[in-house]
Amino acid sequence: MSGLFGALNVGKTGLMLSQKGVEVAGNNVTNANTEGYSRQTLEVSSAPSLEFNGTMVGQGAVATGIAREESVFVTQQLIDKSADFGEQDAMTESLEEVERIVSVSDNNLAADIDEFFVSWQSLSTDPSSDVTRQEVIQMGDIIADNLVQMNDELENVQENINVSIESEVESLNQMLEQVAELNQRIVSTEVTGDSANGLLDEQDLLLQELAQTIGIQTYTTESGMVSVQLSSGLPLVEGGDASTVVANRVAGDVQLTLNMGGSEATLGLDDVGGEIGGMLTVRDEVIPDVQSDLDQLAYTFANEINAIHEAGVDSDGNSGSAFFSYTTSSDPSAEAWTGAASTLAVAITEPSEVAVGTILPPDNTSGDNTNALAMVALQEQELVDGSTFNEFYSKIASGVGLDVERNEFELSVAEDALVQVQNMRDVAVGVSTDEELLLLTQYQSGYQASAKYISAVQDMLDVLMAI
Amino acid sequence: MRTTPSSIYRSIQYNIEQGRSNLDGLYLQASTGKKVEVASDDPAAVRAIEMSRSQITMADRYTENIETVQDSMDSCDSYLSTAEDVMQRMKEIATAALNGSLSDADLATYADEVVTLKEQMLDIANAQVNGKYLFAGFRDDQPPFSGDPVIYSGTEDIKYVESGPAEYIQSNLLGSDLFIDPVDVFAEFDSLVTALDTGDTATIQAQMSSIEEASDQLRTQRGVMGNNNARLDDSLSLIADSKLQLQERLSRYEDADLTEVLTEMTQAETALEAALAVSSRISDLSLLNYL
Repeated sequence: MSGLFGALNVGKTGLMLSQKGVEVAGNNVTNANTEGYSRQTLEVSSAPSLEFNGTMVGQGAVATGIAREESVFVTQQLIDKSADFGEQDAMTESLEEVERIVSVSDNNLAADIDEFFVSWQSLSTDPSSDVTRQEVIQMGDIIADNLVQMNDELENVQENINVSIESEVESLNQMLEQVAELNQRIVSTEVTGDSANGLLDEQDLLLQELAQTIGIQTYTTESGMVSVQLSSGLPLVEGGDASTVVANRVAGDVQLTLNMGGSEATLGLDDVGGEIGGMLTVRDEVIPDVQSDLDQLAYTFANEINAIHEAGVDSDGNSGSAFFSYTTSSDPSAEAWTGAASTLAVAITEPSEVAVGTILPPDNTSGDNTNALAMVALQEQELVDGSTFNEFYSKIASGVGLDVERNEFELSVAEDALVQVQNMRDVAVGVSTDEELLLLTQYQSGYQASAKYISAVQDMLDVLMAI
Repeated sequence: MRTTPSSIYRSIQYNIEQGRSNLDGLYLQASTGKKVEVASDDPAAVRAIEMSRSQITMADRYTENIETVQDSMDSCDSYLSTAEDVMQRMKEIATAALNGSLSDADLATYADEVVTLKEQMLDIANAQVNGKYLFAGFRDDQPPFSGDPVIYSGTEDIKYVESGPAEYIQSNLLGSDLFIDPVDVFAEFDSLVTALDTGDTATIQAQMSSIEEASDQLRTQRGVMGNNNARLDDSLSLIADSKLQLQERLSRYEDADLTEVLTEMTQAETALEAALAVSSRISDLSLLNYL
């Protein structure tokens, strides 16, 4: 059927199409600032022509669907860069905390060690002074306290990381559930021929957050569902099924286990990235390294001081006893010094127990300062791993400084990259208001034209009817 | 190329954040005067900073060591100066006794004076500073000289004190070197008293040279100490010089160059102002203005 009534119908499709176009542009403009929103476009094709009096006549246009702009490359990049950014960003706070603990201020451990030797110097000029002997003991106490405190504070940072990871795990599992659920909803929506644009946007955003939290890789299966895996390949989401991450405390530290329906896997540093990976790196690599260095310093320092002190004679004529005490780990696989810093203490209490001289009774004397001289000579000797005590501490501090500096650098690189990829995403699939305004104008005038066309057809009908 | 407002706003926000944090860092440097607050500010400088600080601490300590030793040397010196006066008086008495025109009573008076001089010398030999006997070696809590004849009960230990890394200075003089060996100063007094009491001028004559030797012995030791003391003055000024250098070095690594910081601050402020100014102009340009 065609003719003028058919022509009216053509006009109707034009009106409807323009209206649809205005709706889509309107939706785009409204969502211009919605995070994760991908620009939608109206897909239009002309309606099949019909033969009328021997000629093919068009039947107007139809909207075949509302498409969602998509760039697989950019989506993939966003996931990768989010993971990099998450990892570096999560390290920053705890690294800065470690840096503050291994301080380079002028009253740090290195200064305490210097003051300890200064007190021995002072004892060498006045060997029998109880006041100076007391000072030596006190300076020893300060070093021991400082090392114990540094170790405690490092453990606090580790505990804070544990708590952060525990709280991340909860939202992580929620996100995994949501991705699995969205997989099902998207497929069931698309099966009916509807478009799942909003759901896809939501899923992309979730995947980014997941990547930032734990570092993931994704691929889309033939069924249209997204598979999510850890960087090591362990499955997080398969179709409609989500694995769960469980945080357990093992020997005080949080240990993550991945529960994949039937089987379980313990997650190590190699498995995870993102924020959790960054935090685990600080907890399991950076801090233990610093602790081990402090242990080595404490252990060597105590041993060297003890060796000299035990070779001396105290003011009662007794051979010197150990100046420092410490306990090391009984674990056979641990280093000899493991645990020394956290247990270091001065073992003597009485000023008379400080062994300043070396001459044994009966020839022991109050003015004998030879052991004090042997003690002060330790300061300049390269006793810890080829360094003096002071240099070794500097090495620890500058090592932590380098870690922080590297993190600052990599964080800014990751942030730069993330901003750039986000901009790339906006360029590819984001909403440009100017563009939408132009489309709006275009559809508006299209609507006017269609209306004008209908009114022309109506006029023609009127003329026809008036015959 | 297609651009979207959200990407422009994101870039500007990012730039403003960067500018702010850059500027914050510079403000902190300017207000604390330090460019190295934490190790990451300049990891390579940490070692130099810690070394300089340590060396400055030790320079202070070495100065204190030297000053302590010098105090004790000064005390020794003034005691030894009195000791030389005593020896001088002894020589005068011996010379007077050799005159021959002296009566037994005069000689007896001289003998009494020599006994007093010996006691005076004994006091000097047992001199104390801060409750410690100066010339007793390591046994500084007991009088080193006692008995009749006077014997030395101190030790033969020289007390060293560090005046620089692995540099040691002698801080004491041994009583035995001063008063006993090779010339026994107290025995000189004893034999002079005996000779005066007996009017034995021949012995006195013979003793003149050993009295001189005893004086020399004291003078030599005092001279050694005086030289050491003078050397320590040099050490002190050397330490002061090197401390100054260390402080300069420390400052170079640790302290912010204010001129540089202020210049950078101006640059950073300008950049931030520009970023802020741009953000207010973006919304001006829109198709909306023309529709």
